[in-house]
Amino acid sequence: MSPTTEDLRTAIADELATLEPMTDVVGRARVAGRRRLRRRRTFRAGASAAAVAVVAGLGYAAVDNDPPAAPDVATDATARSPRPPADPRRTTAEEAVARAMASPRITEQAWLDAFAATWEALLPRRFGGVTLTREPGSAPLLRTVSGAPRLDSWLTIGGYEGPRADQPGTSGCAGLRQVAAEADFRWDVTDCVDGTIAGELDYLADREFTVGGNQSDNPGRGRHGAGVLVVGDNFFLEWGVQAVGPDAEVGLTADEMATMLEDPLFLHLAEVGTRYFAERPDEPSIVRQVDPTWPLS
Amino acid sequence: MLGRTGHGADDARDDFTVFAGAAQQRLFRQAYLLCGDRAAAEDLVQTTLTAMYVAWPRIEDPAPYARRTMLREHWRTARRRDREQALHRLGDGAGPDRDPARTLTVVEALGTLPARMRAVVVLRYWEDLSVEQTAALLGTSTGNVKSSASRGLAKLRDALGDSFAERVSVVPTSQEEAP
Repeated sequence: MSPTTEDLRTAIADELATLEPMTDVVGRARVAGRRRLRRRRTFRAGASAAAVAVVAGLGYAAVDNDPPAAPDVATDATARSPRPPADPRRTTAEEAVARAMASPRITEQAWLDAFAATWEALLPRRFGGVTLTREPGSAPLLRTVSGAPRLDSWLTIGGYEGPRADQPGTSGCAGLRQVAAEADFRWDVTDCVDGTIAGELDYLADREFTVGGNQSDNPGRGRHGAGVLVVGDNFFLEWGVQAVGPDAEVGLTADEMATMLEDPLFLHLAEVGTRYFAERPDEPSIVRQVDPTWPLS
Repeated sequence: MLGRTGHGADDARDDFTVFAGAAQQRLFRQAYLLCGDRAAAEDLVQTTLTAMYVAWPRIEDPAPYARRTMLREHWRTARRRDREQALHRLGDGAGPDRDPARTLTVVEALGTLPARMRAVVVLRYWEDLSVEQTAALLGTSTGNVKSSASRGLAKLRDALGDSFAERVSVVPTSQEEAP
């Protein structure tokens, strides 16, 4: 004898029947939505002004306009925005990734080297490269050398399930194994503004001010950030950037973010990251050891 | 689906109020099942409606869009909360305490499931979506939905134990899905 799903529905209905209705938040949502729209318009206006400055010859490239595909990159099925291999920054990134992947176990240093080298190659040139920063209580961040504002960036990869089931979203050996075995892993950018869900993966980029992990519409109290979330079967990858300093908005457009993430360099970095996060020693807040298998291998 | 207007930015959002007013309590109940906490559920609904207000002129079918947006926002918030809780546990070495003798409610038991599994259980057994609809909504395979639903139910039974059977009529299991 065992409770059925109908019993479950009944029990949920009974509990929800005791739930007081929520207060009306439609008005607050409209106000917050209008504020967000105003911010976007302001940001776009600023971006347009920056583009005019570029045309005037101030020496900054708003986006990386490298020429199209080299043949060896074009054969990569994942390449949507291939670039030529001649750029020494790309060569450095590819070598850092190759070194990490060749090692029996990817160390934190090898992961950060690959992360930094890949960011050096992918970020628009106006950011002038990256340096590693460590803040108390925080994972290592890559901070851009220049840019207005400078950016902090991080990358997190994990699974949804596993022994540490009380930490959904940041742990899970079984989840990583499952995604490695089953997922049709691919990049699929559908919408980098509002996060329309793709067939297999959610690929999102949203921008917000964050204060202590919560959204805020008060720019004076928070740091502006942008994030991209990739969710597959029991797998997630989160790339975030935050403006360094208050009252500054991340000067990285959704198109630029999409271009970076569509690049095969980023996919290779994600492969390194999947192995690294899977192999790293057991830590209370992160994943445990698993047998890593990258979906594309 | 609501009739949509195609006018200017403000006019195009007039029917947002109609949709949001009609949908917010239903969204709140779903959010409560996902979050297990009233305040968090209210925040989640407001965040969802705010995102929908911004995207409103481009939304063709608001109801499924609201579900997707709510799930997305819930996972994002859950990950942040989990990271913060993990940091706190590092600091004091202790997790949340619960009296083992106290009976869990179904909503509390749902809170013991991983976020994605909880979403599958809520969508399948509360929202009454089909396996295919749930898979499409979560961007995953039907096999994964079946597997998650089956394991989620098993975990709920473990978490609720005899108390669940005592509160509802109990009949032999015969219609549940295989993983």
